[in-house]
Amino acid sequence: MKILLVEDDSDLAAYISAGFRELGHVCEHRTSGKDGLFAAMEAAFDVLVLDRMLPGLDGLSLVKALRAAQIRTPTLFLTNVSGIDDRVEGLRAGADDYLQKPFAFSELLARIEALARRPPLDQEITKLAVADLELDLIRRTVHRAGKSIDLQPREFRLLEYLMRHEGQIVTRTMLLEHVWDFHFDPCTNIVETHLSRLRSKMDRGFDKELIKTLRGSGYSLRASA
Amino acid sequence: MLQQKPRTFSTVGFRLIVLTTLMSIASVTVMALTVLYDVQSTLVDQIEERIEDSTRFLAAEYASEGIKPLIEIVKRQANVVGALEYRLESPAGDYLTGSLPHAARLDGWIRIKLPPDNVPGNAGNKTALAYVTILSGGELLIVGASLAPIAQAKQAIINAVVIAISMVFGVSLIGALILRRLFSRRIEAMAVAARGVMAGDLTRRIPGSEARDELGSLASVFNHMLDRISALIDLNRQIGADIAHDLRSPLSHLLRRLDEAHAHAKSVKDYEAATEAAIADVNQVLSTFNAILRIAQVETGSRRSAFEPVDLHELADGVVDAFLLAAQDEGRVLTLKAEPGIVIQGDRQLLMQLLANLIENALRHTPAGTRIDCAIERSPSHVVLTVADRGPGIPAADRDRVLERFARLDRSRSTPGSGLGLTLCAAIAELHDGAIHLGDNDPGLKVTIEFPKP
Repeated sequence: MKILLVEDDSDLAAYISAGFRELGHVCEHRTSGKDGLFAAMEAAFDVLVLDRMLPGLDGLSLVKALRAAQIRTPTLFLTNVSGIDDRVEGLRAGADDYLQKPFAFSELLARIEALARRPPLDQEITKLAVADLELDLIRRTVHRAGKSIDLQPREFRLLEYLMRHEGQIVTRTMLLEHVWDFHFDPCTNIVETHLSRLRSKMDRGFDKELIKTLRGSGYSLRASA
Repeated sequence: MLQQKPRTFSTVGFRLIVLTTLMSIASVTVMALTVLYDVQSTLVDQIEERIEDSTRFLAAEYASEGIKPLIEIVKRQANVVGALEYRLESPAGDYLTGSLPHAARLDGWIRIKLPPDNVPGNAGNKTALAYVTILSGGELLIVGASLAPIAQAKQAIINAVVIAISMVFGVSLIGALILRRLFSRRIEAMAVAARGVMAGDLTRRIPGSEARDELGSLASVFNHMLDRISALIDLNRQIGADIAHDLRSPLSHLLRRLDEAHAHAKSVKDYEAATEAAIADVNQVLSTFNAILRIAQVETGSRRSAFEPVDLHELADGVVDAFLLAAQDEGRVLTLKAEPGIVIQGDRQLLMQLLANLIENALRHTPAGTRIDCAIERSPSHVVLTVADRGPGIPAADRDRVLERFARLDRSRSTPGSGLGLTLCAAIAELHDGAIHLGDNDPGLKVTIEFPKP
C-alpha cells in the first residue's frame, strides 16, 4: 500500500511510518497541512492518514479541499481525546474513518487496510460468500454448506461486516462502531459474547473454523486455515 | 495592586452628596424667588392702596374745603412717622408744601427719585412710588411712598436664602463625612478582603454581611460566591488527588510487571505475556483519562449544538440488545419496557453511553443471576428512563455520594471501572436538562432519569 501520513508530531509520525515500512508498505510523511495537500494532489495514494490539528491548514480543510478537487482517496482522521465532536465534523467534511489518539498501531493498521480495500461505492453487492459460507443480503439468510443458519439481526450484521472484510483484521472497536454504533468503549465484553454465540452457530458441526481470534489485535474471517 | 484606591472626589458617596446638595440649592433658590416675587407684589399692592386711599381722602377734602386746609393737613402729616409723602403745587407750578420732588403735571402713577436724605445708613438712591392728581382748581397733588421698605424686605429674604444655602452646604459636608464612614469605609473593607482572596487566601470573607441593608446582602452574596469557589477548588484538588491515586496503582503495577519481565523473562513467550499485560494496564490508565475528559467536555455543554431528535425506544432497543448476551451468560434476565414513539432532542452517542453505563453499573455491582429491568415511559410531565436491579442496592446515605467523581463504595478500589460511570451519567443527564435520581427498588437500586417532555 502507498500511504500518505500528515502529522506534525514527529515522534508519532516516525513510529507510524516505521510500522508501515516494516510491513512492506510505502509511507510518505508531511508535517504541515499545505505540504500534505500538495503531496496528495500530486501523486496517487491508497490511503491518507491526517492529523485533525495541523499547522497552517488543518485536517478538516485539507480533506475538504481534496474532495472539492474530486480526489476521493480514502482518508482516516487522527483525533485528540478532547475532541469528541471531531468524529461527526470529520465525516461531514469527507473523511472515511477516524481514530482517537492514543491508539495501538494494530488498530490503525486494521482500519487502513479496511479503507484501502473498500470496494467502490457504486458496486452493488447482494450476496457475500467465503468458503462454504453464504450470506444473502436481500433475503437476510445465511447458509453454510447448504445448511441454513438462523441468526439474530445483530449477529447477521456482525457476520456481514466480517465477510465484507474477508481476510482482513477487524478490531474490537471497529466492530463496536459499525455493528452496534457504539463510539465509546463499554467495559462489558459485548463483542466477545456475540462472536462466541455467532461462532457456536456457524462453526458447530463443521470442522473448519472460519472466524479466528488474533490475540491482541482483533478478529478475522478467512477461508483457509 | 490591580485597582487603585478611589480618591474621595470620585467616590460614589461624594457624587451622591454633590447631587443632593445641588438639588437642595436649586429648590431653595426656586422657593426664594417665589417668595421674593410674592412679597414684592403684595407690598406694592399695599402701598398703592394706601396712596389711593389718601389721594381719595385729600381730593374729597379739597372738594369741600378748598386748598388751604389741604395744605394744613399735608404739613401735619410731615411730622407723622411712617406716613405717606406729599407735594402740593399751585396751578402755576409753584411749590406749596410737601417733601416730594417736582414731577410732570400728568395724572397717574409715576416713580420719582427721592433726594438723598440725611438719615445715616439710608444713603443712596431711593425711589418712591407716587400718584399724581390735578385737582379741579388746577393745583397739583402728588401722594407717594418710599419703596425702601420693599428693598429692605427683599434684602432680608436674600440674606436668609444665602444663610440657608450655606447651611445646606454645611449639612451636606457633614452628611458626606457620615456617608463616607458608613458606606465608603465598608466598601473599602470589602475591597481589602477581596484583594486578600486574590492574593491566595481563600478563607478570607467579606465583612459586614450581617448588616440588613444592600451592602450587607451584597457582602453575603459575595461570601456565598467565595464559598462556592473554594468548594470547587477543593473539588479540583480532590480530583487531582484521586487521579493521582487512580493512576498510581496501575502505573506501579505496570512498572513492576516490566521490571519483572526485564529481570526474569527468558523466552519470547514470556515477553509477549509481559507486554500484553502491560498494554492492558496502560489501557486502564487511558480509559480513566478518557472518562475524565469526556465528563469535562459534557459538562461544558458544547455538545448541545449537535442535538438532534433521538428515538429513545429505538436507542434503548439497540443498547439493551447489545448487553443481552453478556447478561444471559451470567444467568441474568435483562428486560426493556419501552413505549414507542418517544423522541427527545439530544446527543445520540451520549444517550447511548448513558444507558450503557447504567446497565453496566447494574451488571458490575450485582451478583450473577440478578435481574435488571430497563424502562422508558412517559409521565405526565417527563420522559422517564429507569434502570432497576434487584441486587444489594445502595444505602440511602451513600446515594448522593456515588454520583460524585471517583466514588466507589468499596474503598478497596479493586473492582474494575474508573468509578466515573455514574458521574458521566449525571453529566449527560444534566446536558439534556434531565435529573438523575437514585432510589430504592426494594430490594436493589433503581436509577431514574427524568428528561423534560419534548
